[in-house]
Amino acid sequence: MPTRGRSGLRRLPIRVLGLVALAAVSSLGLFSLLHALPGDPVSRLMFQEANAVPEEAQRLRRLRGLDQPVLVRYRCWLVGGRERPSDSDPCAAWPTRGVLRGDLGHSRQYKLPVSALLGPRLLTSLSLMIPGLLFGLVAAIVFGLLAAKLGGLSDLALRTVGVLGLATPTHWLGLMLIYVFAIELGWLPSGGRGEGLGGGLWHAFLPVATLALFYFARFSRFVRNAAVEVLDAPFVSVLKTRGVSEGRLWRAHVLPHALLPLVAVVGHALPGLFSGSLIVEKVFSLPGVGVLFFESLGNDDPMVVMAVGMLLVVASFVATSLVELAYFALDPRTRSSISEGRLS
Amino acid sequence: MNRGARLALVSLVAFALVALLGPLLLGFTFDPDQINPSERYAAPGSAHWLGTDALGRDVLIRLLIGARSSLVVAGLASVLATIFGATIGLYAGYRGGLWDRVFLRATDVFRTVPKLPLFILLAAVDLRGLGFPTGPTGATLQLVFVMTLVSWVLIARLTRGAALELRSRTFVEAARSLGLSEGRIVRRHLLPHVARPVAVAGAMLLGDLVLYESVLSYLGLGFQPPTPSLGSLMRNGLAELDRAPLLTVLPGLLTLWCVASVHFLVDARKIARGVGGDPGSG
Repeated sequence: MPTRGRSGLRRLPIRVLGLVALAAVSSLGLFSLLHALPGDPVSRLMFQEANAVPEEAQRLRRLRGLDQPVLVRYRCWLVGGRERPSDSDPCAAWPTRGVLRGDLGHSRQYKLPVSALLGPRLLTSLSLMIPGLLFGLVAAIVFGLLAAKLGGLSDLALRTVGVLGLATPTHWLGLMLIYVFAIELGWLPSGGRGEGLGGGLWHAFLPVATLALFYFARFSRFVRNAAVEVLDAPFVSVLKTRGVSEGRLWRAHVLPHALLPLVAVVGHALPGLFSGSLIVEKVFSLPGVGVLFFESLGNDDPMVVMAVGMLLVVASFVATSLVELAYFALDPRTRSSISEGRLS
Repeated sequence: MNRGARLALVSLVAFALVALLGPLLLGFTFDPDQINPSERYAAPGSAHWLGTDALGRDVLIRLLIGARSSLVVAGLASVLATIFGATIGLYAGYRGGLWDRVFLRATDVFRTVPKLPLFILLAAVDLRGLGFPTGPTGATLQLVFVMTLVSWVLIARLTRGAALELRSRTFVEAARSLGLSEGRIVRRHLLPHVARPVAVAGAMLLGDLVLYESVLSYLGLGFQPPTPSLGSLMRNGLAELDRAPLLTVLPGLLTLWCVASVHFLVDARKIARGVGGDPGSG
């Protein structure tokens, strides 16, 4: 909740405090929940081995460190084990120096350090999220302003498209685009990544379009409403009667007033970007962080789930906070324009 | 209520009737799980109005049951979240003080957590230890539980804001100075004033939760085959997108019908009240 008369920077300490609290609570929560996933990994292994004996399960559990209490293991994840491994070390099964020392651990599935795994995955996701958000935003601004200016039928069209866009399941939208453009028309690839720059752009077209449509639906009506509100404002009539040119009126007066609140709306929509990217990665079989999180949950790869989960939570919080701080810096009034959210 | 809103409401009620009564009416004629190898991928016709799927099962009855599963989950969860969230929000806003500030800060931070990964994690967790049954009932209960757990916060924040504004109004002050109990003030004086915005937020939540059910079941969490839901039907249709696109198209259209009705309803009400629709504020 924005506080009256406080500058953005004065809110920084409370944001940092929030980040620390969020990281602590969510890492502990995530870590504990990981062990409530269906069938503990050892019993699953035992199930597959027809002639396994209970003693074997006991041994496996010890080997994987699953005989230790959750809190002990959480401590291992945080700060790692002792310098010299020994039998009495509870963290012997977790070869990590601890997250707080910059070691994210090892992936069981990919046989890689998690940090090495994350880099390319993150790049894939960002190359979807950033263009998707930008294209959606630009289209929303252009069409929103047009609808506000023209009114009538174009306004109705924008409203209809906006509502339908909000109501369309993103994964279904992706599937429909695949069906029309990849299967029926055969113009575009249905997923995966292309070779080189041209192929990459070619393959990125449908996934980015899906995300962009998602964001267009979210932002276009907001832009239109904000612009209509400004156009109705008394100061605009005054400027018109004083003979300010149409171009100058829009550039210097309508646009700044109409687009400023959009900053807050975009900031609020940022967490949804991670959700949207996950869906699009899944539909178009792209190896991003969202899919990595989802698949590692099923693959019994706890170090990866922890790392990606924390990355999503922290990155989303930081990005949202930065946009919010920018908004406070841009708009000195900063009253309650930050909208209460939908589930994003 | 203007014409647009009425139309949207009729459409939403129609969807609910189709989803809730459809399976009952057609259940005598068609069996959703009846596998029929000789009638795979049958075209729409008199025997099967919308054709059959890869296993020769009737598409129409599975769609209707799928719509019912999704609507029941989203409906129950949004009602529970609204009741729970409104109660907490009313008291937090009315009382104020330390706990209100803690609640506010905590939800401020919680708002930035990406919801889909959170839903995925919670839907994947094994709740049988907490006494949840297995099978379709278990899936329904788990989805309702998880969705309520995540989404009451949203309603609570909205209600809290409204209650905070009402707190210092004269009629509440009058009620207080008459010596009415806190519970009575909250129930009889605050609740009627916040009921409308809360109901609108609850309706929006219903739409959002239908979408979340769809994506969770599409990802293979939530409802498991052969139980149909709008999401799991899309998941089933996925592999046959090239040879039987209807299997994927139809569940999506049903989802769109339901959620778009909700959005048009909320939108039309906002226009009627002269308030601009804001995609962020719902």
